[in-house]
Amino acid sequence: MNVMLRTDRLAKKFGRVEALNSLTLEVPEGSVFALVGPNGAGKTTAMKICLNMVRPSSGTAEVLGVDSRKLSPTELARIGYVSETRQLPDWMKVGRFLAYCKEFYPAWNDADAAEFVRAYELPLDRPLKSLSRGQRVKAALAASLAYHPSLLFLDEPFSNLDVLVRDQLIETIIGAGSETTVFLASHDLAEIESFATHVAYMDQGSIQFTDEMGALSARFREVEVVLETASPMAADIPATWLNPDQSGVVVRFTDSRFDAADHAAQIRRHFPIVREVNVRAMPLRSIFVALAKSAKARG
Amino acid sequence: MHPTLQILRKDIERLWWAVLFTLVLLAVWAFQEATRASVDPFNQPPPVSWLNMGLPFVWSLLIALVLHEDSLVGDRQFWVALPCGWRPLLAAKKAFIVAFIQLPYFLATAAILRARGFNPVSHLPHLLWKQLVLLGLILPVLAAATMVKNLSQFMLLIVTVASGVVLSSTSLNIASAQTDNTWDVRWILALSTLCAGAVVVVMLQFARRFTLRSRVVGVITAFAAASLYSWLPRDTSAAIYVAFSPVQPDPPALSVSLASREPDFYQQRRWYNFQRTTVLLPVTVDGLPFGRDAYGTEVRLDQIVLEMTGANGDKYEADWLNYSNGVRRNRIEARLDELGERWQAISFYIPAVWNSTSRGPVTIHGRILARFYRWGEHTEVRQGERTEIPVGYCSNAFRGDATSGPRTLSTLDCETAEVAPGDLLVLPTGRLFEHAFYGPSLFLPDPWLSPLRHGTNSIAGNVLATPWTVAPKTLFHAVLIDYTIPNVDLNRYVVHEPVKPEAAK
Repeated sequence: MNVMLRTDRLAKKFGRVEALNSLTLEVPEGSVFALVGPNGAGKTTAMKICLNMVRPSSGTAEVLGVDSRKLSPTELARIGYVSETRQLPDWMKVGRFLAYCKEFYPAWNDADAAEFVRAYELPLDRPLKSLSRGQRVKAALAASLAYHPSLLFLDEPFSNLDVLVRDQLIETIIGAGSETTVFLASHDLAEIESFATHVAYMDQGSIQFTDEMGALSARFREVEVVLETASPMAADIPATWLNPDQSGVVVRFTDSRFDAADHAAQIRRHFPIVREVNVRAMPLRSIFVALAKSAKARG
Repeated sequence: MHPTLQILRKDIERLWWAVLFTLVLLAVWAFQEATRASVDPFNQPPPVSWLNMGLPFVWSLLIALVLHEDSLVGDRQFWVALPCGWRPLLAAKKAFIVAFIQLPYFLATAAILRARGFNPVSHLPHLLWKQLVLLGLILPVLAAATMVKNLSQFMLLIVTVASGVVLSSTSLNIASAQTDNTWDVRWILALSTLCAGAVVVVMLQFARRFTLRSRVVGVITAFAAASLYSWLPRDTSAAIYVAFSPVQPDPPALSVSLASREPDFYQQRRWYNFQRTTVLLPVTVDGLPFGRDAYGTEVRLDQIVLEMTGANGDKYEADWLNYSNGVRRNRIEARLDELGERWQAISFYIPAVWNSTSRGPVTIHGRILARFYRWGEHTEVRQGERTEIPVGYCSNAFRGDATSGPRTLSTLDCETAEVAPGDLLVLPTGRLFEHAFYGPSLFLPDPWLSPLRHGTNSIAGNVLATPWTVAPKTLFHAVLIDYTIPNVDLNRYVVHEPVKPEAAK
């Protein structure tokens, strides 16, 4: 497995504020890697360090096999970057903007650019500053995808966009195929669930966990056990059962190491007389909420 | 298209209106410089004076504007993630400045020279020198623009620096540094320091975007340049001046010693002042290779250092840079007076210092800068004519008529396009040599934007349409001379003491 982006104990301090704390992750080639977490978690800082826009306080980031501090035009020509915070040359008309970007990227494909313009209904003769936020993101994305980047950084690309535009952009990202690895930062779990292949959850500058989406979905289950009689929960329940909660004869918890083959036996070991067991798959949002609650309970 | 050209094209598209504005201002300035009737720099039509300040200001804004099209401070810039690198970006900005500031200015100065009768090709060194002077503005402005976040911060910085310069020139007495005869050494040193620091800042910002470090370097550079200009010891500036001046292979051995003359009434009048005690020591300068009044050569002596050591070992040093105002220490002014015979003049502004110094015999250690000039070909400039002289042109204007009597005024205006024109010997034709003008220089210091240096001399009184004789003076030797005069009783040479309040009544 080729790694397109790797960070090793990456840290960044702004004065006394610790924006990143020992961030270590790997983004495999062809993946759509989502870095999720609340606002202020350090996602944008991590992304800017990877693009050499911000210098790390310690640790390293390797992008396309090169130290991010030494990224040359050769590597940057293979990288796309769309961010809500990036200052576009607003005075440029869309057509001029695309023409301007084209000159910097040898792999630029005019036909693809024209196709994006058509699909996104971009008005070529209007300045970027007069476009809606959705149109601006589309223009930036068109300018980033027209040269088929090996690695595409998307920093909160969908925030404040209406559903139709969001779906259109997601379609584009999925359509980019395996030739483009996507590294995406978002605070909205729901929006990335449908297409991310990997996910890392960040909070207060640290990675809480990272996993493949498939494995994550398979691993987490919401479990509801209905007992015959109300008896207190055993003290030695597994640590992988997160946030256990009992209400009368009903016990609920999140199994973070769900194994279908062993699940029934494990339930029986801890609850001898069980009337009913309900196991439900969890959406990403519920998994993160469970993890966050568990972390908070552990202090 | 190469990234440099792509960025340059983008900047031109964006800032064409600002470029057009600066080019129009430059054209207006060049037209007025080329066509003005009067060469008197203190009597210019207002727009010229205004443009001499206005053009650098709008150029500074243009530089800041083009730089902030691709800002270097912050982490949101569009260009940072573009595959172009910092070198093409810097090259594009530099190309913009060359194309729309330096080249137009070069063409404007060449056009001015041509319009004023000078051949721009033969004065190419001067035009290139003006480009260097312009670079002295461009580099610090470029450096300042790279260190600030936006145009508002840039404007704030410009206003702060301008206020600092004005404040310094009044409270720290930078202006008095200009009275130093080698003051051009000061500003060239200060400007060179500023430019060197600016280059470091620009490279740091473009290559690494180390804004904090760049700002530290910028502040240190500004202080270093200001310090060099204001507080560079006078003997250091004189030594540098001598090091870059022509030197004769077999220099004369000059010495200064005490003579036995007494100051005459006229000398006493010259030094009369209520505020100070003045002594006039008669001195002789031996070893001059020619007589002082020998026609064709001239030597100028300027006091660089004067130190007095009292019998009890106390030392007092004349401090020129601070003598007129600002921070003062001893407030002793000293100079080698050249009117008629030579005199070592020393003025004491603080009575306590005078009382202490004059208590017993003192030993005087001095250093003078001797500059030897050779006069060039003489040219007569007649009334109402613009006459070519070896270093430029002179015009002779006469105001008044035969009935005006003492109210007539004969004025000589000269202009030159030489990089270092030296001085002009100017004397009304047929007059005695002693009436010649001995200003530090007829031509004013480098006039910033204009490629021409101007100078004016005039005689008021019964001078009916006097022709003037003009000859360029060429410096051919400069040397520093140290001398010691032991056991001087200053009381013996006092020409004036401050009037005591009761005596004044």
